[in-house]
Amino acid sequence: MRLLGCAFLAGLQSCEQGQTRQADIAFPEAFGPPSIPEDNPLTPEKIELGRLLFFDPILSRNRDLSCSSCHLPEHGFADTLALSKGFHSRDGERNAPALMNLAWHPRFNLDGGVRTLELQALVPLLDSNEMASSTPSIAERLRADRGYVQKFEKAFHRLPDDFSLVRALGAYQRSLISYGSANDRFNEGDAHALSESELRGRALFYAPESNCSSCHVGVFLTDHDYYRLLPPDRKDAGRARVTLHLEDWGKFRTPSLRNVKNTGPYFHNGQFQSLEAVIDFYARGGDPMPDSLAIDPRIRPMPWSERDKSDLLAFLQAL
Amino acid sequence: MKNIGWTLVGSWTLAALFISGCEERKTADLGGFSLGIELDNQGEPAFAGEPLQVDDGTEVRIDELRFYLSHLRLMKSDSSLVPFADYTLFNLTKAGELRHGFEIPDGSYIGIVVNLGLDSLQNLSDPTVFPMDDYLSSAAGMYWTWATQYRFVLTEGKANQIGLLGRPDDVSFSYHPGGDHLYVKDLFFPREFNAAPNLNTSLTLKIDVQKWFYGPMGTIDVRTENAVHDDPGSQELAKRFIGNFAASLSI
Repeated sequence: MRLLGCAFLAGLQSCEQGQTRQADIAFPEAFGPPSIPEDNPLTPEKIELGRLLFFDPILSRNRDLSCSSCHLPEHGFADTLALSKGFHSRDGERNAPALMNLAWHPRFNLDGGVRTLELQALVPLLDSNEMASSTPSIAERLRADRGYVQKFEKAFHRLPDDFSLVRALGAYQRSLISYGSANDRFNEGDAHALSESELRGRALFYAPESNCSSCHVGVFLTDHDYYRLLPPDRKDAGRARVTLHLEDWGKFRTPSLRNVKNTGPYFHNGQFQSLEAVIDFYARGGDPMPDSLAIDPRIRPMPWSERDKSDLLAFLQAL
Repeated sequence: MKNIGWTLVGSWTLAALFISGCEERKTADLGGFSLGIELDNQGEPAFAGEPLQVDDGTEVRIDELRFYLSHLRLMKSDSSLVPFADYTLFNLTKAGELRHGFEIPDGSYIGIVVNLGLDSLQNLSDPTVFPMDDYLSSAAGMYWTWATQYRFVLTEGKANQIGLLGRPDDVSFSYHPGGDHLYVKDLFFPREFNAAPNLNTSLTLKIDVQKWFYGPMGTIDVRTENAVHDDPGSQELAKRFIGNFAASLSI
């Protein structure tokens, strides 16, 4: 597993004075072209500024939380807690998702309620349970910091404000790429990239009767669709919060399985601490649900032996 | 919404064809034409942060009230409409946003027409592209980040049905309705006035709190119906609240 992150594979294009440089990130060919908004082309200056902001608690109301407090680089930019601790140690509403390969995500948040990566940045910044800040106060703090002012002017030709703040954070997050796993090398033709156990697990994963790959599909191992897998929580409507349809209550987006060994706890509420627990959940066909809202029909008991489970685990760890 | 009996005045899309050229002025020196808001309780003035009693004896205190009006138009005697602002935000607890001044063409008018909330395009806005003093900016505190749209009305406060606030059984209420399906179009407020150089006209939208809880869309029992956000569980209440809120406005 390699996190390419800001370690650009190629150098930066030369530039003429006064022009903005284009960041030359070697996006994996297998991913196809990334989605980069017209009003926020990737430049090295924006990515570097976004990186600084991402790790700086100046963005939180009490100056005690940064984005990286809940999105830990060493854990695939996810959190090790089921629910992250926010402002005044309040529990977050959902498990902090991994921040990888976001340039290919069509929607954001686990319910898909957020249209762009830039707007997504506002969610934790303004949420009273997370960083509990406000855009005017953040802009004021950043404008009082000469170093930040210079970096914003270099990256955006403007003073710090909500426009430049969320675009810098968006640019940095688009540069976070997870590619180069053993399974990627196998897919690229390296027949020895996966062990015997991983290969058996791979066969189980892609077996039609397992149904794993009906949702965890394609190069990102997600269909970006929404499913109900756990008994609904009265407090969190999930996808229904966006669609306002009761039948979507408790549905959440299929997560990518890239780098999944590093991104636990798992599921929207972080209730599974380990991949072993996740495999057990699927093996038993999920947990009892209320009559009114059924679990996704593809979740049903699987006749997996202990070796099968061990092989599946080995494959998941190779993603 | 037909039951409510508001006067509907045709499609605002037609009205939007009129050339406006009018801009809101956000300065204290209003002059010309201004539109403000004022809390009212059955004809008596009421104030944010102070208790007021509604019909059933419930004591209510409004701590926060902000709401958007959009496609603000003047109506002439021939029923033609003159747009004067695309949108504005009123804030009961912020002195600078209790009243807004606008530049309007000289002429005789018989009232104003507004929509409550934001139209679907306005609601789809990226709040970071606006200057931070714009009412659609994230700084206005009305943007719903997780839904990437705006709250249309935001009001919070406390209520006690025994009739005395400050008791342990006070109920906090928080109504934040928003979403395209809650957009209320073409609220007509009749009032004859003239606009001319050196003539100041100030209109005030009165907000009758009584109607929030006992309005034409139905009763709202604040003991049990005290939170509206944009989730499917509170949509029926959201519709009732926004309808009652619209009906609570008058000039």
